[in-house]
Amino acid sequence: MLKKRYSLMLIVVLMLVTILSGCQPAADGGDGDGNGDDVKEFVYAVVDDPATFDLDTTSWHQTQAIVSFDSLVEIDTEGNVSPKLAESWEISDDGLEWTFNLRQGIMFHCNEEEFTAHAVKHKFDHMKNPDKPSVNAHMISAIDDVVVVDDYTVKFMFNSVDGAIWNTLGGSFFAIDCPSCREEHGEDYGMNPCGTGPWILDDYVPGSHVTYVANTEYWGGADYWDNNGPPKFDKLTFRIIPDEATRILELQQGTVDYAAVPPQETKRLQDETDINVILSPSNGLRYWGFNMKKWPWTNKNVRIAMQYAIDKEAITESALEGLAKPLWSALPPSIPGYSEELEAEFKAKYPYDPAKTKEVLENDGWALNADGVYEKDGKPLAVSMWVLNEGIQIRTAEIIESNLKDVGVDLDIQVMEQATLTSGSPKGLHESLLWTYGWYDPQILFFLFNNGGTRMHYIDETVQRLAEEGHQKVSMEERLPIYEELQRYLADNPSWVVLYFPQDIHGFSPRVENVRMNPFGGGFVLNDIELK
Amino acid sequence: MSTNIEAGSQQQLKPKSFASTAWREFKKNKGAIVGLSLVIFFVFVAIFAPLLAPHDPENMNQEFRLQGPSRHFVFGTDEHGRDILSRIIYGSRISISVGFVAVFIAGIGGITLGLVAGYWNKADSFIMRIIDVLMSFPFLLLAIGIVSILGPSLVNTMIAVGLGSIPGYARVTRSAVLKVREEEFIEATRALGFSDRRIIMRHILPNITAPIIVMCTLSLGSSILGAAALSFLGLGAKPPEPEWGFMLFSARSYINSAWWYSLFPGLAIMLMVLGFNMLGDGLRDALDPRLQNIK
Amino acid sequence: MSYTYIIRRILATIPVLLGVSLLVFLMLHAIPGDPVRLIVGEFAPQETVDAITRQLGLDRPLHVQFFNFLSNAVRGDLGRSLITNRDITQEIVNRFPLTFKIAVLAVLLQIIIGLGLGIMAALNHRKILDNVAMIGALLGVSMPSFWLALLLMLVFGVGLKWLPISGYFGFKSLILPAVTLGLLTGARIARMTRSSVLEVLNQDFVRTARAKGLKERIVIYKHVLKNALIPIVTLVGMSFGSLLGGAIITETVFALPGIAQLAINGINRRDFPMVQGVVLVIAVSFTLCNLLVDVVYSVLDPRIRYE
Repeated sequence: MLKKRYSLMLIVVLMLVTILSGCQPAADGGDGDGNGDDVKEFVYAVVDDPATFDLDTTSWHQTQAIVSFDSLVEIDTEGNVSPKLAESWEISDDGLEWTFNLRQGIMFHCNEEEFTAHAVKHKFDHMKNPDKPSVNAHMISAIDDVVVVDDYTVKFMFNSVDGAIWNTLGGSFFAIDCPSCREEHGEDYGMNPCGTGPWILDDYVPGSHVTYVANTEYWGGADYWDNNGPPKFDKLTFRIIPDEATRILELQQGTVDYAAVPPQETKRLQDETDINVILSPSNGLRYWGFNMKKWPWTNKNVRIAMQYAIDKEAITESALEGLAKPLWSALPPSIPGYSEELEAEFKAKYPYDPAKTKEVLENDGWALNADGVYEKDGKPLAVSMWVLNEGIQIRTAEIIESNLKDVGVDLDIQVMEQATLTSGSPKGLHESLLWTYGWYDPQILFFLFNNGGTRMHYIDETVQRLAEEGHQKVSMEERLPIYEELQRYLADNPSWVVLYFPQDIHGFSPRVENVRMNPFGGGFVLNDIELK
Repeated sequence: MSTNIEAGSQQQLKPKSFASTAWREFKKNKGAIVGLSLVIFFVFVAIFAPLLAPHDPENMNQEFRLQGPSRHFVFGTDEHGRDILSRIIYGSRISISVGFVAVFIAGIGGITLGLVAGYWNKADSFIMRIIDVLMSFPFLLLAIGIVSILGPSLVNTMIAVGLGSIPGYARVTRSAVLKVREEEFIEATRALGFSDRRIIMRHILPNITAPIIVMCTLSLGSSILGAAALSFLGLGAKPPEPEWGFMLFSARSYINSAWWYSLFPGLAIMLMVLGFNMLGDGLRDALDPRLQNIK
Repeated sequence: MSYTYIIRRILATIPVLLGVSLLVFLMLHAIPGDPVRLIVGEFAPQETVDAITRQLGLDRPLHVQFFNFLSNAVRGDLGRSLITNRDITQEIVNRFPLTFKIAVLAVLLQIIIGLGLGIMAALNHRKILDNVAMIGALLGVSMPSFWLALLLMLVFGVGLKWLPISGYFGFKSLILPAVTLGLLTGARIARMTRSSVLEVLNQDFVRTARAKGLKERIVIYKHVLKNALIPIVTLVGMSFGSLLGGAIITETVFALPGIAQLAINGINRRDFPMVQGVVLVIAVSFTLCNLLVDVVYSVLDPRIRYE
C-alpha cells in the first residue's frame, strides 16, 4: 500500500520534471519587450496566422504573409502608380499591349536566381496553370499572355482594356515568386517562400508569431518610398493575438509596437497614454444589402422607403464612436470616383426621415397592424438580417433594428459566423445582410455587382453594362464619368442602404518614427519606419 | 446502511416520512436556505421584471451611453445608453428559461438512457459506448457545432447545452439504478416474476429520485454557465435581447473604459448559479440518508 | 489487474473513437458553409469555386471522404489542412506540449486546492473552517471561467504587471491560464472531496479502526483517504483528459497557441480535416486518461472487480 502511494508521488514528480525541463521560452522573437541590446525589432500585432505564404493558393493576403515579396508597381499615397520592380512602362494606343521595363540587378532571397522577365512570365503562367490555377486567377482575367521580350523587358497581352489592373499589379495578387524555389519546393512552397522583398522569413511558429529579418541587400523598393534601401531596423515580428482587448493591453504596455485600434479604445489611448494614434480613411464602406431575389426587396418602393429609415449618424456616433462618417454614395471618399457634389446630391435626396419612410410605405399600400408592424396582403413587413458575430457589426445592427422598429418594420437580427455568411450569401440563403467592401479602385462596383454579385444578387442590365465599361478604359479620367453615371443609377435604383465609411485607426508605440500612411496600399509604408 | 429487505408494503410508508425528514434536514441547513432564497429571488425577478425594471431594457439613449453607476442608472449604461440594471432584470428570464429547458432536454434524454442502461444489462454496454462517444467530445465544441448547424437563437442554445449535458445525466442515473438494484434486491423481485414496468415504477424510480433531483438542480447552474459561455463566444445570442453572457461579450470591447459593464452581468450569472448550487447542495444533504447520520 | 483486461479495454475504445470520428464528420458537414469561399474570396467566379472544390476533394461523396480519412488516420496520416496545406499531424504535435503543460499545471493546482480545502473542510465539519472553505468552493463553481480569466488578467497582467498578458513566453505565460482552470475545477474537487471524506469517515470500518485505538493520523491516512480518493481520482482523471483537449476560452482570452485554438479555428474556417484530426486526438487522449484512471482505481481499491 505504501508502495502504491509512493508510486503516485513518483508520477507527480515525473510530471513536474517534464514541465520544468520543457519550459524554455518560445523560440525567437518571444521575448516581447522588443529590444534585444542592439537588435532593433518591430513587433506588429495581428489577429491571426498567415493562411499560407504561397499567395496563389489563397485570397487571404495578410500583411504577415506578404512582406517578403515585391510587386511590379505600387499605388502611392496620392493614388498614382509608382514604379517598383518595373521601372517604366508603355501602353499601346489600343490599350491591349502593356510593355514593362524591369529593374536590373535584383536577386531573390535564395541568392540563386536573379529577378528577370522570366520570373514575371513564370508568375503569370503559374497563376493561369490550367491544371491548378491560382485562386486569384480571375483578377488577371483580362490578361491573355505574358511575353518575354528580353531579360528585362516583358509584355502583357490583354484581351480587353482593363484600366483597373494597376491594383492587381500593384499588390500582393501579382507578387513575384522565385521560379526555381517554386519548382524546388513544389507543394511545400507555402512554407518556404522566396521573394525579392525587404524582409526574409526567418521563423514561423503557428499560433504564436512570424519573424522576419531585414534583407540587408534590399534593392530599394517603390519610388515613392522615403527610404529606398534596406529596412531601418533588423527584425520584424508579427505576434498573433486573436483577442482584441489583449492586443490593446500589450500595445499600452509597450510589448507590441503596432496594433489596429478599435474605435472604442481610441479616445482613451489618445488621452491617457503615450500611444501615437493615427487615423486614416478606410478604403471601403459598410452597407445593409438586400438579397434582391427575395421578398420584399423585389418591391422597389420598399427599398426606397428604407433609404429614409436609418439614422446613420446615430450609428457612426455610437457604434463607431464618431470615428466614421455617414455615407450615401456607392463609393467612399478614399476611392477615385467619389465626388463631394454627388454625395451632397444623394444626401439631399435621402435624408434621415422616418415620417417619409412611413409615407412611402403607406402610398404603396402598407398599413400598420395590431403589433405596430406594416402589413400588406396579410404579410407583415418582417425581414431578417445576417450579421457577423463581431462587436461593431452587432452594435450597428442593434441601432438599425431600433430605427426600423420606429417605422413599423420588424427586423430579426441573425448573428452568424464568417464562414456561414461567406458561403451562404452567394447561394442567396439570406434575406439581407450587413456587410462591407474594401478595395482601392472603383472597379469594386464591378466585383460587387457582376452577374448580380455574391451578396445582393442584383441583376440589372444598366448596372452590369456600366460596371463593365468602368474599367474598360486605360486612364482614370476616362473612367470617372462612367462611374458617376453608375452611382446615380444605383442611388435611384438601390439594392442596399449605404451606411458609412470608417476610418482605420492605427496605434503606434512612442518609439516608432517616420510613420507614413498610405490609404491605397493598406496601412503604412513599412520601409520608412525607424525605431528610436 | 439501508436495511430495507421487504419490497412492497414498506415502500409505501417510506416516501412520506422520508420527505418530511428531508425537509427538516433541509431547514436546518443554512446554506440550503440561502440557496433557496436566491433561487426564489431570481424567479421572482424574472416573473415581475416589467414591474421591477426601472427602464425599458431596449430603449436606446445615445446621449447617456457608457455612463457609470448613478442614481438614475444604478448599474450604469451600455454602449447604446440602455440601462444595465433593467437589462439584467429582464435577462434573468432568459437565463432561467435556458437553464430549465436545457436541463429538461438533458434530463429526458439522459435519464432515459441511464435507466435503460442500468436496468437492462444487454443494452448497457451499447448505450455506455454512445455516452463515451459524447463524453470524449469536448463540450464547447459540441455545443458550437450544434448551434452552428441549427442557427443562432436562444432555443438552439438550449438544445445545444442540453444535448451536451446528456452524458452526465446518463451516467449518474445509471449508477444510481445500479446501486438500487444492488441494495433493493431487485434481482430477487425479477426472479419472482414482477413485471419490469412495475419494478421500475415502484422500486427503482422512487429510489433514484433523490440523486436525480440533486443532479438537476446542480446542473441548472452549469447549464446557465454553458449557455453564457456560448454567448460569450458570440454564438447563439439574439440581439437586442439582454442575455447575460452576450452582455459580457459586448462588454469585452469596453473592458478598459466601462468596468461596470463587465462586472454586473458576470455577478448576476455567478449569483444565480450560486443559488442553484447551494440549493442543490442542500437538497443533496437533506435527501441522502447516509449523510443524515452525520453529526 | 490483468494484461488481457487492459488489451480488452483498449480494443473497446476503438468503436468509441470510430463513433467520435463519425459524429464530428457528420456534424462538420451539417454545419452550413464550406472553406472554399473563404479561400477564394468574395469576388471569385463560380468556376474558381468549383475548381477549388474539386481540388480539395470536397465534391466526392461523403462516405468516400470519411473512409479516406479513416484509412489514412489509422496509418497516422491526418492529412493536410484545407486552408494552409500544412500537415495536420505536425500542427497538432507542435501545439501539444503547450496544452499538455497547462493541463499538468492546472491538474496539480486542482489537486492541491481541491484535496487541501476538501480534507480540511471535512475534518472540521460544520465548524468555521468548513464553512469558509465551502463558500469559497461554491463561489468557484459558480463563476464563469471567462470572467475569472479577464479579472486575473487585469489584476496580475495589467495592474501588478507580474505576469505576461498573453502569448507564449515560456513558463510565466502558463500561470494565469493554469490558475483559471485550476481554481474552478479545484473548487469542484474540494466539494467532492469533502463529501467523499465525510461519507467514508462515517462508515463502520472507520469506527472500528478508531475503536481499536489506532492513532487518528493513521486512521485518516491509511483508511479514510485511500477510500475517499476513489471518486476524486475519477474526477481528476476526467479533468486532465478534457484539459488535454485544450481549454477553448482560456486559450482565446490569453492568446495561447494550444490545441483548442486549432479546433476552434478549424471550425470557423470549415477546415474539415483539421477538426477531424484534432477531435480524434482529443478523444484518444481522453480515452487513454480514462483507462489510466481505471488502473489507478483498481490500485486504490482492490475490492473493485472488472468483468
